[in-house]
Amino acid sequence: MAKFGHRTIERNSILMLVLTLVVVSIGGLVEIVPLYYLDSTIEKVRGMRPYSPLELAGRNIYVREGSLQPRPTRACRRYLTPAQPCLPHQGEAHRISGQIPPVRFDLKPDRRGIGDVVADAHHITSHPGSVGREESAGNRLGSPFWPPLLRSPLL
Amino acid sequence: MRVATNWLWGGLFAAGGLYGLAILQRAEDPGFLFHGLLFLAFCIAAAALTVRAALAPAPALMLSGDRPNYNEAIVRAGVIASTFWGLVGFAAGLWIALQLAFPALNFDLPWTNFGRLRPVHTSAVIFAFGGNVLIATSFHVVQRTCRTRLAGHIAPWFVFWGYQLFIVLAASGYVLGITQSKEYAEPEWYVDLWLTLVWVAYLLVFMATLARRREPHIFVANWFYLAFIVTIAMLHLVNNAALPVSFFGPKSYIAWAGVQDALTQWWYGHNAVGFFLTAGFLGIMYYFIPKQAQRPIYSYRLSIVHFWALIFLYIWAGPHHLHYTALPDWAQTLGMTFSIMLWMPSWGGMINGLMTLSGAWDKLRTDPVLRMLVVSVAFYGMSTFEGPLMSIKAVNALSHYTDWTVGHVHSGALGWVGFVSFGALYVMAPAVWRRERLYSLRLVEWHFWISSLGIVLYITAMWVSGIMQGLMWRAYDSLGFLEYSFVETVEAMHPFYVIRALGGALFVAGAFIMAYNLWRTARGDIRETEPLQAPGAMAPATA
Repeated sequence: MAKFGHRTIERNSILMLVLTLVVVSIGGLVEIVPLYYLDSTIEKVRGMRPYSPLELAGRNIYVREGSLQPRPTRACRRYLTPAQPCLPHQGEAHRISGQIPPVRFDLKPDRRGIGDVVADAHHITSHPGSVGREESAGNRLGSPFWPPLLRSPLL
Repeated sequence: MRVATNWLWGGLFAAGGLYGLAILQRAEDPGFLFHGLLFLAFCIAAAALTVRAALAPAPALMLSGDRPNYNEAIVRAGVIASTFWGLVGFAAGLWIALQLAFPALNFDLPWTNFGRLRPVHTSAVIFAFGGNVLIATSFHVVQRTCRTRLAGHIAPWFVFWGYQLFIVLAASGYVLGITQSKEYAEPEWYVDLWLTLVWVAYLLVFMATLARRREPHIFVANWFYLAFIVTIAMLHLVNNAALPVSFFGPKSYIAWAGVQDALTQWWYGHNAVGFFLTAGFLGIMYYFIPKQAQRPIYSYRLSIVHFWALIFLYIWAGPHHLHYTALPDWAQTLGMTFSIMLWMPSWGGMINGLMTLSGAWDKLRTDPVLRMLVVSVAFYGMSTFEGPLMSIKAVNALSHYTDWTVGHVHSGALGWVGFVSFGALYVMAPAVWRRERLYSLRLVEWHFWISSLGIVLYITAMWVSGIMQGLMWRAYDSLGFLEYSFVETVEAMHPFYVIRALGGALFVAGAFIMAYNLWRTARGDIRETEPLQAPGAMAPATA
């Protein structure tokens, strides 16, 4: 029998297919499978509960509009929503979580979420750009508008 | 055998038609009803074509003189579909780029909102344009390097038309609000199942063609095509595991949740880049560059090493999309480490592609098609250097969620995937329409320079915009307050969004030039005013 070498593999399409599948499986298995048994990733969080029907309907709107990738990563991307777990950097934490009011209210209203009337108001208007300081920039440059959401039924 | 497969196809389309009829009666959603209609129409047309194909005589495997009877009709269809979807996808990108600069272009309508059109652009360029290029080139390459006719009579056409149906279902779904909102995996459960069927047929056609090859060795381009097909199948099945709410409605919920869902998604998402946009297109490089340069591949050993290293390492790199999230630190660091190691096999491929030109570098001056192919490999080298750099956590802290990522993606997408595809289309079109040469090499020159200028405008605008954006987000003033509000960063990016849209417009213009050139080539025209050698050509090297 001839010595096994790469020529053996590249002369046998089934062998090539099987070896490729083995080689590409390893990384995913090592990285993903532990997430199903490591304590830190399967921890039962107190107060965790399934979404209420209203919350689920709201999430479905985000999904439908491509606004939110429903995962812990994309949330900070362009359509910021508060309380997403991606705030490890000081600047991001200050900007998004509203833990500490970092910006002087009178000068620099920001979409920090909680406790800031200017920042929250754009969540409930069809034209985010029509709120406060963002009006000048928002109508020209700011977020896209969703006036159809005002007219469409929730479900 | 042939009769049995004909009945199998007939049964498949009959079952599909029955399901389509059931959808017409019971659809719970107007979008789903529309998709049911499309599906029913597809199954009826496919059944009719199956009957026609079953009654026709089987095509000969060989022509006289020991020449294989290549299936070129399927490649011609692929060239047309690739060009068409390229124009659609690039134009969609231009539109959403203009929307970011001028939001009024959202038109305040649900169907034309940026959030819904963005996946239309990404899916149209990656899956519609890129996917059709991959299917067409793989069918072209596997036949010629195995010196045999493509396996299957109906199956290759099922792959082609089934894939077009997948594209139409996916894109129209996004516009209607039917989406899973998972990056590059937006199609809902029924579109995913349909793609699975098409993909299994694709793998079988490819494997059966390899099995009947008349060459002892499997050519290196086919290793990459095979890895692309089989890995995409694995990623697609796992990442899209979902529970439909109903068999007569579009909505489903993904089986995975939380951080497990996040990493599965980016294990998929990064390797959609790694295996769809890299391994598959390296297959294109390994056939079309040696073919056009008329030189052998630089190093056989390097192709072995970098093939196995590339497919092994790529799979690990997904976590770099989840830096500084709830993903455990060890997984983030592991992803970063493998991303940096990935630099080596990536550049192995680049070196093998570029050095294939040794002894033929002068052709870059005279052959714009070869120049397009070679510049694509240079862009591949650049973006596979930039990617590992951005995966380093300290760099990522600045770059993540900014336009720098968008610029990086597009240097790979426009420069590497786009140019290598254009080069392959320019090589394939005269071959499969049996023309002496392309209609016009001057138009290829125009395409090359206009598109290159567009890419440069695009990526430099996004570098500046992205790094500026990252720096503005983290800037503090002397009193410890954030220096800039969010909207100020948006205002600052506006000029770069305009430049980016201009770059995109140039790229779209280049693609239209290509479409015109390919159309004239297919018709059999040759631009008479052009000499066979491009203008300014020197005597070709003879060594």
